[in-house]
Amino acid sequence: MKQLKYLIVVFLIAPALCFSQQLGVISVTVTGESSSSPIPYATVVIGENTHSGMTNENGQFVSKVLPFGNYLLRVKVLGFMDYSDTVALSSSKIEIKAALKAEVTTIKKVIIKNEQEALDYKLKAVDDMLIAHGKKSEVIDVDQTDGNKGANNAREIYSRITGLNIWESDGAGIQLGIGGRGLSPSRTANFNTRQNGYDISADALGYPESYYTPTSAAIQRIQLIRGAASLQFGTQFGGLLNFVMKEGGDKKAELVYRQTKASFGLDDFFASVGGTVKSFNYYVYGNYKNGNDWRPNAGFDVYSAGVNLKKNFGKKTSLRLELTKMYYLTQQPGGLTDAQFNLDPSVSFRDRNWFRVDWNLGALTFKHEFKNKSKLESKLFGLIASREALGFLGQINRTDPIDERTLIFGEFKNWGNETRWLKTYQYKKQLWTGLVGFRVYQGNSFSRQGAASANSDADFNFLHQETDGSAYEFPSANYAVFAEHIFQLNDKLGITPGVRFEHIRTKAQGEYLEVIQDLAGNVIFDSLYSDVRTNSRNIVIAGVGLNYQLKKHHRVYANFSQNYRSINFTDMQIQNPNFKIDPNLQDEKGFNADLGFQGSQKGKLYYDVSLFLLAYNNRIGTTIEVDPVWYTTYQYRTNISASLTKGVEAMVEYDFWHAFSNNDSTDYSLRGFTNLSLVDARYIDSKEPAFDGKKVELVPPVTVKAGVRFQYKTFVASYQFSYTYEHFSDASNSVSQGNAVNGIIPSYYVSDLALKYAIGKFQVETGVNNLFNQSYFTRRASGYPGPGIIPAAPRSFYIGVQLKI
Amino acid sequence: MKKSRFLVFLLSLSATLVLFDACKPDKEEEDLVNNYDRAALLANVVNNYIVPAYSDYLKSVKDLNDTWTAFGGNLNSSTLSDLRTNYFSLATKWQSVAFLEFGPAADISLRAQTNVFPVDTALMNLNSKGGTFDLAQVNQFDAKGIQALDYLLHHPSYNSEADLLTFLNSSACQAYFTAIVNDLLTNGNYVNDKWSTYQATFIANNNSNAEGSAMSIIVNALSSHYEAYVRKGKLGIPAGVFNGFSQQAMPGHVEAYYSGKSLDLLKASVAAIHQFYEGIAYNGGNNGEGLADYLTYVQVKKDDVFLSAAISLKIQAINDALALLNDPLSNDVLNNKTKVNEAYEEMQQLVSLVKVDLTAALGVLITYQDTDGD
Repeated sequence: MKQLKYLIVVFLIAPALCFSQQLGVISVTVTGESSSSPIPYATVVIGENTHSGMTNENGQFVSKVLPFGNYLLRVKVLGFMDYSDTVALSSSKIEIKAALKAEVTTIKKVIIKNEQEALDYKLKAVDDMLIAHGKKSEVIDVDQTDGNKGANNAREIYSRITGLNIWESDGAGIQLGIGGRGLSPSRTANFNTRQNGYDISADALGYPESYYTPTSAAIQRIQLIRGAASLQFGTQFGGLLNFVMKEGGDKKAELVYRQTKASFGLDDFFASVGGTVKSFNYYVYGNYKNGNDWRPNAGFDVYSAGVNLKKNFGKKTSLRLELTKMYYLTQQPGGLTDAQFNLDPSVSFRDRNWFRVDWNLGALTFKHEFKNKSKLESKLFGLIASREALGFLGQINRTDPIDERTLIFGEFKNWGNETRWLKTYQYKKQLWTGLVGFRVYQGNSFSRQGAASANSDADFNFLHQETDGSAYEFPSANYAVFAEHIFQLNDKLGITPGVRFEHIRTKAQGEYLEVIQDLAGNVIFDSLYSDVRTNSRNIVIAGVGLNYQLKKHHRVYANFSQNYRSINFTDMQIQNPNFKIDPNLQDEKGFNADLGFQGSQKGKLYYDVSLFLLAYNNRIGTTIEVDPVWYTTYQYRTNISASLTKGVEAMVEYDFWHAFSNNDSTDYSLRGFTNLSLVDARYIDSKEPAFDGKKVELVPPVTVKAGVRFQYKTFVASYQFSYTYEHFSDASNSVSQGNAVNGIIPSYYVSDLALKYAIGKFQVETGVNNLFNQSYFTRRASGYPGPGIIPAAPRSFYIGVQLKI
Repeated sequence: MKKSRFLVFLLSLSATLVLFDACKPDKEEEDLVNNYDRAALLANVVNNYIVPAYSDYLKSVKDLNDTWTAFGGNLNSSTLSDLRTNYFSLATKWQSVAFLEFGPAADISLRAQTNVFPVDTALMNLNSKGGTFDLAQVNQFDAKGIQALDYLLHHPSYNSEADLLTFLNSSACQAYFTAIVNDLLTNGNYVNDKWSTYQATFIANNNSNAEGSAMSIIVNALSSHYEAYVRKGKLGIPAGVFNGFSQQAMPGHVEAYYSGKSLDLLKASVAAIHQFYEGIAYNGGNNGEGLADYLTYVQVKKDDVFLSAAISLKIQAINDALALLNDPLSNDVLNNKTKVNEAYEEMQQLVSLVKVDLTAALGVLITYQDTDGD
């Protein structure tokens, strides 16, 4: 009976089949009785112990091939009464509809929900519209994470994800800065970042920075697939990071209100309402955050809101509209030098630096399930956004001269369509799955840099109409087709090859003002230059994944996938005639490979231990070249380096209570987890002698997160320890320098404590971040929001209340 | 299960290999660069050049101050001549420390506070005739320092020495002159004092040539000063190289325009850089470890010649080309254009030898912003 409660990978061991018998499959659609909307992730058990699995996002479950006969069908899911029925299998496929009665008592529901917290952090082999078979995947159920959601604390939310280097730039997680496998965490640009499957970054190709971070309280799950996601999603080296947002529940209306108060004046208000009315599902949320942060000259006001409407046309077709907005204004206290940081990190030497973001996203998703077990999903999405950085960004060891500030304005408009078709079918008694898709993406970004007011207020206006710095337009287009297929060769071995073809066209068109000054700073000459650069190319990348089932719930996976990072807008732009760009500049190319063990043991144990290799060629950089005729020197942007990153990523979580207690339905649980990553990354070849053989920047050789989590019924207490080993911030492996832009990021450890208790409609969350008040920093900035060391927050307390009606 | 055991074995083996590999030391190719005794080089240039050079620079500021305190307000023809001698000695000694814009000097932007040219004559005329000023303000940087003394002591508005003496002895000018000298004293004292403690820290920062290391700091300071302040500032701009498309000479942009000693100072500047590069002690004599010796050690060649020698030869060629010019340089940029341009070309070639070849040989990254525009 234990199996009822836990996730089980579909398509597991097939028992010795009797070939003379007639065979068929049982297809079960699980819905709520009142709403008739599908129930995903319901556990379905066929026979006494014959076969079990979970329903997909459409509430469907298809059994493996079974001999004809009578089977006991049982369905169990939180919030609903158990369902059981006897099914007679007498044809090749029989379809059953299981309508579940909702559970009555809410208190009980909460308890069951907590029991339900499965020990599982991976995607299924075929997860709705994506294939994760043979890849390294990680999933976070955000409601089950502990910690400070009011402050979007990435350290706590992503605690189970291995090897993440997390940048802490502000006290409210306004911008997410995470990087895996030794890739730069800067605005999460090395991940293809999506929300419900569509792109949310400024420009998926040319400016993949995430200025928008979804509100934690509105996120259902976070899905992460490492580099092998390159074929089905973005081609980035980091892989896919997808935020699956919440949807309305089965009730007509469920209201959630959350309020959090934390140290340094942080106030966070969140409200959402969602539900299902007939064939109509809706979820609407709003969030407001403000705070002063812990250093002077700092503060933020953040507004975000989202609307998610879904209309079901029958059981097989749906249309979903999503709108998201985020707006924030922050004041940046600037960076610190090493000496300033060591003396007192709670100071600020910049009081005129501001940052403003306005992000608007829209998406329309059409989904249809055909009779032949295939599914089609088409997403049409768009973005209109802007970001503005205003301030004096001169080196932090210079005093602010209180003259004109610099304003950098970026405007992003893009739209795209991604359509995928997935079919699961039976071949030689195994289930095979194929996926094909295409993507169309067009973007138009605009960037301007110039002088702004010499005052200290948040005045985001250029002083001059005409270009006094630079102004560039970046139209881009991307067309891609991709295919992946699971060949399940036998009960144990499955191979998933895939291929992606891309056509990219990027263009940079603009002008820049060159100003020549004498030694006293007088302008002796200025001239406006215009510049156009277009680059069109076709790229084919391929990969293969392999999954070998060792025994039930334990597997070995391996994969190899090519990746590339497109030439960025900044790579295509020059602001100085003394700068040249290699006419044959190539996209940065390489591959990711994984070899791992992953498995779970009846809710007591979850593990995923893997080795990876990340080869990164054609890294773009700048060298200094000499004109052979005039002997003048100029900066030359070209592909200068190659690096190789090797590492181990291990995540193990163990439930001690369940391991030592025979009673599975105990109200107690005591889990411990360790998440460890060891990485070695080196430049193996570089045209810049200062880089050759050096360690790759921003790669902590060791990162560890470990913690314990105790639960009694609805009370949860957890403690988490995070450790990051010292690492360099630049490719020349600088130890320190006067302006603090580059140097070592020393080892640091941080502890977080979180408590949660639910009673009735209320839930209280409280805790302490940076429990031992460690003074540390996670990053050095070369420009905004520094430059210099950006110190991480000291100890802070928070308390939040949630009301759910 | 046999298969799975094999896979476990394979996985463990790979894990061991990765970990073992991760612990390997760096590549051996770089050994020449890293085996060199950087500490010895740093100790030599710091103890035998930088520290005595600043001390000597400060001494010449003090000499000027002594003359001024003794005779200021009551100058006559002879003491004016003494003052001019002090001034020129100071301007020459400045060339020996001007390219050391790091550490204490960078803290206070010594170069920008000491030797900006062209000076703002309008502002200086206000200051010297009773206007109020605070020389610590950034907007006064081109109205103070050595070049301000050049202007005051060789003021073009006064045709006769008598008129000039009257002006210099006026109380308004006296106050201004005193402020300029005091400002030079303050900054000179600051840097000289700070080096006594910075000295050890700086020499100890010798584990690599990475950004922020002492070697990287020295090479960047030397290269940027030579490129922007010597090649461009002292010769390129006056020659008109940076004057847009017209390339018209800009004679008013030479250093020491009013005394007309521009070429002397340019030569002194190149000589100082050369001396430092070779590792020769400030007071002459001992030739210790310098950048040239480091380059010789790594055995990098440029067109079949050791790079260390190629640089020395290029400096010699620059000296030869400069020898064909005459002071006042402000005349030569107008009337001796061919020779001026030839000298500039030689100077330009040294930029690439230092900024590209020397940095590549030592694995140093150029970190200063290149806003040259040529």
